[in-house]
This record gives sequence, C-alpha cells and structure tokens, in this order.
Amino acid sequence: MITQIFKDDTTYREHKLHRLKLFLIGLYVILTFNFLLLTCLYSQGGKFIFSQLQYAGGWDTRPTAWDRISEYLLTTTSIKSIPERRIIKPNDEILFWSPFIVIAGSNDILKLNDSEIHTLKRYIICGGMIFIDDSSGKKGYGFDKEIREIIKKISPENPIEKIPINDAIFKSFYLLKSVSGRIITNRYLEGCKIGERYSIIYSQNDLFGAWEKDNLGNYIYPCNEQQRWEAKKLLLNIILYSLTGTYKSDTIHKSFIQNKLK
Amino acid sequence: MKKIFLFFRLFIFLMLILLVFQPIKKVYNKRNIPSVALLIDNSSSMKNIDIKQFEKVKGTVKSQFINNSKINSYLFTFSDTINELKEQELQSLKAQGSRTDIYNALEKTKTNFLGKNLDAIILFSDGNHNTDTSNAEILNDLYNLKIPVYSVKYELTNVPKNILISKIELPEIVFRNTNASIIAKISVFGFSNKSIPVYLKSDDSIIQTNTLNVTNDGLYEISFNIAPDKAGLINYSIEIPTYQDEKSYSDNIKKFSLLVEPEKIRILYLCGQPSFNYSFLRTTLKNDPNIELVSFVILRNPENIVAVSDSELSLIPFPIDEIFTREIFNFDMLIFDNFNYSRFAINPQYLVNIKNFVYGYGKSFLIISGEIPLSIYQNTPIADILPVNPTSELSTEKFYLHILRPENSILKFSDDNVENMLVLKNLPELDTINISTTKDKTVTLAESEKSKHPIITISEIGKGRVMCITTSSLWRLALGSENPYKYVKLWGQSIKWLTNSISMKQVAISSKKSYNIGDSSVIKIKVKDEYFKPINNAIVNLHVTKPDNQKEIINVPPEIENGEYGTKISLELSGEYKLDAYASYNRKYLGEDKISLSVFNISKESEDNTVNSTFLKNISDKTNGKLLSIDSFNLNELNIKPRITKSDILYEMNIWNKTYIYLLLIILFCVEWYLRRKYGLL
Repeated sequence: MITQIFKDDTTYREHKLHRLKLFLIGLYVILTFNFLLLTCLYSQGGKFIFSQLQYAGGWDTRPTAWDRISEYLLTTTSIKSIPERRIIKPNDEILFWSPFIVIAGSNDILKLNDSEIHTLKRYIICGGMIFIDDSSGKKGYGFDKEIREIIKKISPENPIEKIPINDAIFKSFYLLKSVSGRIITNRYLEGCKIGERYSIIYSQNDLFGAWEKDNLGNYIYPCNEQQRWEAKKLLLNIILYSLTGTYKSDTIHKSFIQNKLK
Repeated sequence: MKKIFLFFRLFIFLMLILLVFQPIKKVYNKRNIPSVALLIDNSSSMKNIDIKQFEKVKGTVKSQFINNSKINSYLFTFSDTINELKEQELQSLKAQGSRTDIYNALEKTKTNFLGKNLDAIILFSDGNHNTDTSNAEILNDLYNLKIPVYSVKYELTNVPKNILISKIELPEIVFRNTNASIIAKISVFGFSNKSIPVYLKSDDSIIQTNTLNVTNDGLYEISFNIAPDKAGLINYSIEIPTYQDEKSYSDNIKKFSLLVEPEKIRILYLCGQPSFNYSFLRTTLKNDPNIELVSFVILRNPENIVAVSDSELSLIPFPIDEIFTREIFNFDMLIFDNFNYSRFAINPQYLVNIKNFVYGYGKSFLIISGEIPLSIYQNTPIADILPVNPTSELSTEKFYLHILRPENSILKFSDDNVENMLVLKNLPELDTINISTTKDKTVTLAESEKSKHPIITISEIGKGRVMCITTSSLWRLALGSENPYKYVKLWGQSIKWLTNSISMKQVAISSKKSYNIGDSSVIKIKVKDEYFKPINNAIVNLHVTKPDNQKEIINVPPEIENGEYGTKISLELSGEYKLDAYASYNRKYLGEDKISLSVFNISKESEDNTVNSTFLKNISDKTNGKLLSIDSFNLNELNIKPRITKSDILYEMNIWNKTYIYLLLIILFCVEWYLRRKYGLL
C-alpha cells in the first residue's frame, strides 16, 4: 500500500515534471516566435514598410487599404516591402525606423502637443517623409484647418505650396497628367519642399479610400472606376517617390518621358 | 536845403546797404614764378639697370632746379612711401626702396598741395609700378589729379647681358584634364635677334618647349598651356638654357608647384530596387554640388505585372551594354546598391570591365548589400575587388556600430579626438547585416558591436579604391539622429576618400599661388556646411608654416555675408609657405584645406629691369604733360608757367570791423533828425 502510494506519488511527480517540461517548451516556442515576429517587424534594412500615425481621434479612416497597397507594390514593382502595418504614436522611437509615414484624417480634429510637433519636425529634417490624406472632402475647417496649422509648425521654413504637375511625384512610376482621388477636393497636391524633394505631401482627395474593400472584396467607397484607378496610380507614385526621390527628374529620363507624354 | 536833405538820406541808405552786405576789398599777391613738385623714384629698380642713370637724375635736379630763381621746386623721393627731400640730402640719396608706388606718390602730392598752388609735377622714374594697384587703375584715376605730370624716363645704355625669369603667373585654380595657362615674364638684355628655348618641366621631365623670339632688349611674355591628367600637388619648373657672359645664371630657372583639383566627381549609381537606402543616399549625393550623379533604379522586374501600356509608365530601358562597355569609363565612381547583375543579360566581360575600372583605371567602387547578398558576386571578377569574402547569410539582428578606426578620415566628425569618439559612440542603432569576413589587406572601419561582423570596410585595389557596406540600414544615421549631419558627413568623407578627391571641400582656401619676396598674399577661405550652404559665423583658423618652419596661427575673420573669410599675410622669406585652414561651427568640425605658396627670391624691384615708357607716356598724356628723357632734359624747354597768376591774399580792406564806422552812421542819423526837426520837416 505504502509502495503503491509511493508509486502513485512518483507517477504524479513525473506527470508534473512532464507537464512542466511541456509548459517550458511551449513558453520557449511562444517566446521565440514572438521574438522572431518582433525581429521581423523591426528589422527592415532598406525595405518599405507602411507606417501610420496614431493620434487621439479617428486616425484609422481606411483600416485595410495598407494591405492592398502592400500587395499591389509587391506584384507591380520591384519594391521589397514588409507585409505589416506599423502603427506609430508621434513620440514613439520606432518613428525613426520608418522613413515614410501616413497621417490619415477625416472629421476628427488632429491635435499634437509641442513635444510631438518637435518630434515630427526633427523627423522631416532628418529625411523622413509624411504623406497626409484627408478623406473628409472639406476645405478650410475640421481636419484640413488643423493639419495646416500643424504643417506650419512642423515646417516653418518651408511653407506648404502647390506641387507642380511636372514634379517627379507625377512620374515616379506612372506618368500622370492630372491629380485624381476617390473624391476630388483639389485638382492639385500640396507639399513642403526641403532641399530638392517634398518632405510633406498633402492630399485632400481620399487616396486611401480608393483602395478600401469589404470582406467580400467589394469597394466600400463609391467612385468612378477610371477615377479610382487614377487615384491608385497617384498613391503608388507617392510611395515610389518616397523611395526614389526626384529620380525621374534626372536628365537621363527627360527625353524618354517627353516622348511618352506626346 | 532840400538838396542837402536828399544827399543825407541817400548817403544813409547807401551806408545801410553796405552794412547789410559788408563788402571787403582783397588785395592778392601776383604770381610770376611757377611751383613744381619733383618726384624722384628711389626704388631699387632705379639702380638695377644702370646706376649712372640715377646719378644723372640727381645731377639734373641739382643743376636745373636747386637755386633756380625762375621756379619754386618742392623735392620728394618715393618708393613704397613718399617723403620730402631736403636739398642737402640730394647728393646722398640712394636707390634702395623695396617697391615703386607711383599711384601713392601722385595721390599724396595732390593731398599735400591741397589749397596751395602747384603748376606741375615732374616725375623721375623707370615707370615700373609694382603694387596691387594696376597701371590701368592708376590711369583711370588720373583725371582727378588736374596737375600736368612731366614724366622723365631713363635711357637704357650699357646694360649687361642677361636672361631673367622675372615673374611666373599661375592660375588660382587648376582642374584635372582642363586647360590652364602658365605665363612666364622674361627680361632679356643683350640677345637681340636670337631665338631662346624655354622649357616647362614637371619632376625634371620636359613636358613642353616654347621658343622666345627676341628682337630687342626688354620684357617678354611666354605662355604654356597645360591640362594635368592627375589631381594633387604637382611640381613644375620653367627653365631657360644659360648663355656665355650672362650676368647671372641662377635666374634662368624658376620652380613652383600647382595644386590640381579634380573636376566634378561623376558617379554612376545602380540600385536593384527602390529602397530607403537609395532615397537617402541619392538625396545626399544630389545635394552635393561637387558631384554629378547618374543613377538607375530597377523599378520593375520581369515577374512584376503592370496592367497598363508601357506608354503610361515612366520606365526607361536600362542601357546595360552602353553602361558597361563605354559609359562606365567616363565615371569616377560606380555604386552597386543591392544590385543583382544576374537579373540582366550581362556579358561576363562587363564584370571584367568593372574590375578594370577599379584595378587598372584607378576609379572607385562602392558596393552596398541589402536583400541581395554579396555572395552573388562569388566566382566573378567582382569578387576579386571586394574587400570582404561574402556569404549568402543575412542576419536581421539590430546592432550598434563598433568603430575600429576612429582616426580614419572617413569617420572624422570632429577635429577633437575625444569629441569624435563621443560622436562615434552615440551613433544610432542599425539592423540587417549581410554576413562576411574581411580579406587580408582590408581595413575594417566599423563592425557590429556584439556579433563582430564587418559593416564598413575599405581597401585599395590596384590603382583604385573600394568600399563595402554590408547593411542597407545606414540611412538610420540620418533618421535616427538629431540631425542628418553624421550621415551626410560620413558619405561626404567616404566619397572624398574613394575618389581621392580634394574638391569635396566644405572648407576651401584660395589665393594666388606664386609670389616674389616681400609681397603680401590675400587669402580667401570659403566655409560651407555639410549641405554646402555658406556659413558666416564659423571659427576659422589659418595655420601658416613659413619656409624656415616657424609656425603661426591666425584667426581669420568673416569678410562678407556669403561664408567667405579673408586675411592678408606678408611673405618675407623665399621658399614654400604652407597654409592649413581649419573651420568649425557650433562645435561641429566642418573640415580643413591646405595650399602652398611659392615665394621666389626675386624682389618686386628686380622683376622688371626695363623702362616702362608706355606707362610713363600714358601718365603724361592723361594729365596734359609730356614724356621726356633724362638724357635730354631741359627745364627751360618745358615752359612751365603759373596756372593761376593770383596767389595768396596780400591784405584785406575791411571797414566793417571798425567801431568808428558805426559811430559815424549814428551821428549822421542824429544830424539828419536834428536838421529836419529844426526846419519843421518832421
């Protein structure tokens, strides 16, 4: 009996140890996986990663567009991108691992404190690029009014201006002759130029809205199909511009592009 | 009675009018004798040709001017300054001044005689003005003088036979493979109707020969056109064969050196895919005015599908054959950034061309690995020029750089070593490494801190230079820092090293390169930030090493609001002056630059041993004077007359400062009033 008890006790202990082993192995696997996931998330080299600024209010106006954009980039261009969306708060250190960030806005007002403004100021001075997409379709108040005030603070020395249609942005991949969007609030893009390239690009034409689909694959936001295609091309060009700068304004491209535009 | 009253009244009115205007009668001295300033050039050049001519000047002045009652003479001597000469000092006057400043002499004479009468200036000189004011500037300013200048020139007789290289004019800046002129001024005496060869030598080899066709004695100019094919400091000399009976043989040779700058650096940048690494590096290179960048990025691979016609795309064909056969050799540097050659139909010979580009042509190659590991180049000619032995392994670890060679010029962010180390220790974190091992003669500048994989390596391959970066996250040095200074600086210095360039200067010192002893050199230093924008408040120090190895540090002040700083240094010794300029701004080291100045043992005064009759004649013509010869000088023939016959006021008649005039006036008023009252006329 005593032996049986001891036997049972030993079996119990073995079970316990076995369970502990399984738990530790499981923990190790989970930790390793998480580590690899984190490594994968943060290690990017020169690869493109879709990064979006999170702020108090409706920052995520088009929550699935990034996925389709990343997929489209991979199939259409030679860009190597990380199939993740990096969500960044203005004061996150990870901002400085993300040379291209998106600020999306609609009806909610974007408010940034002085420290966040300072961080974004440093970000563009150090070579970062901000693309702002306003999907509200309203000019002069709400998000538009607020973001213009913020742009003034981020880039006081290089005020926002209309981007001419012959700029490298409009030929970085597709040759574009006009500015389109899911909605057309402006027939132009605006931006702040630091040196030879635009470090802030501002669109009020809901370019991300042109990509947004539901789970069944239907476009959520209505738009003329040709206009939607032109909006997609413009957004793709903006991403290419963030990765190649004014490459397409180089002399070597001029005659080719002029011939194609004839 | 009425007549008397009328007279009284008229007289009083007349007196009142005179009282208002207070006329004064001036009586002048009458001038019959002209006043003349005699300017005697006593610079050393006056004795260099023939001392007898200088003695003749003194004799002429003594015999024709001193104690001459028909003329008022004021005696002056001049060289670099002008001084009054007393009559008794004339005999002992020596020609030993170090410069000839005719402009200063004329200007000072005019100032000295301001408000006084001067009817003419008689200038005894050889006309060899040799200060910073050019002859043309002097002639332009002469219309202000308004006094006739009679120039009295030397006559050249009995000059000893000699050939003298008196001056060499060098261009301020010389670029590689660009034409530049070197002008030699040669004084020739006693070799009329002779052809003299003049050689331009570099490191004792004749590189050009010109012939000087001498017709008469005088100063000749000969020029050499050069187009140096290498950059850096090149030693030259101009030499003339020596001839029998020459007064001096040592002045037939002059040595000098030229700092040859490379032309704009041409960089060909091939990138395998759009990436942040490309966008950061491209922006940096594009912002550099010293670089001409041609870049190709592969935007689409054959497997990528684009649902539009080619005409809607901005893509251009990648001209592989043209680039790797012909164009490549027109560039100074080639960059492969994450570039997979095997994706293109690249002829194996093209890779051989790249190897030759570095190895044989002495050009530079920068290779950056990213998604595509460097191992794709294994067993190709490119592998021979890589500083590392690559593997196909990519590590995605995050890492800090561990700097192994902080003293290397590529990693120099501050001229202070401690501060530089601090900057290097605080570089931001990077990620992704293409693992490799270094080759034997490779210099590893930086490795990953923990894993010790080489990250930045350099090596000299054949005649060329190669740099290898095994991470594609170097852009973090810009985005992960407070400002992009370190990133821009690192690339600027890397390209400077790779291309062996001295034109990528943030600090650029310039000055005339050749001088004669006793000259002053005007030094200009241009200071720019890492984006090549001028900086006006930098600290600029100039370290001067004299030919006797004595050193001096000069703090150079800013001159004008475009990042230009300037100073002047006196060159009192012959030989090589070495100038090193260092600049810093807000504790940031901006850079340094150096030049050397050749100072020839020729004084300004022995530079030209001829008589500049043309210049003297022009001075006289501009001022309505005459050019005369010392041999035939005769004061009486000049017929100098006083230009203004009335001179100083002898005396003045002024009644209005006399009290009795006012008393008389009051008495007259009183009498007139009294008489009118008496005769009931009031």
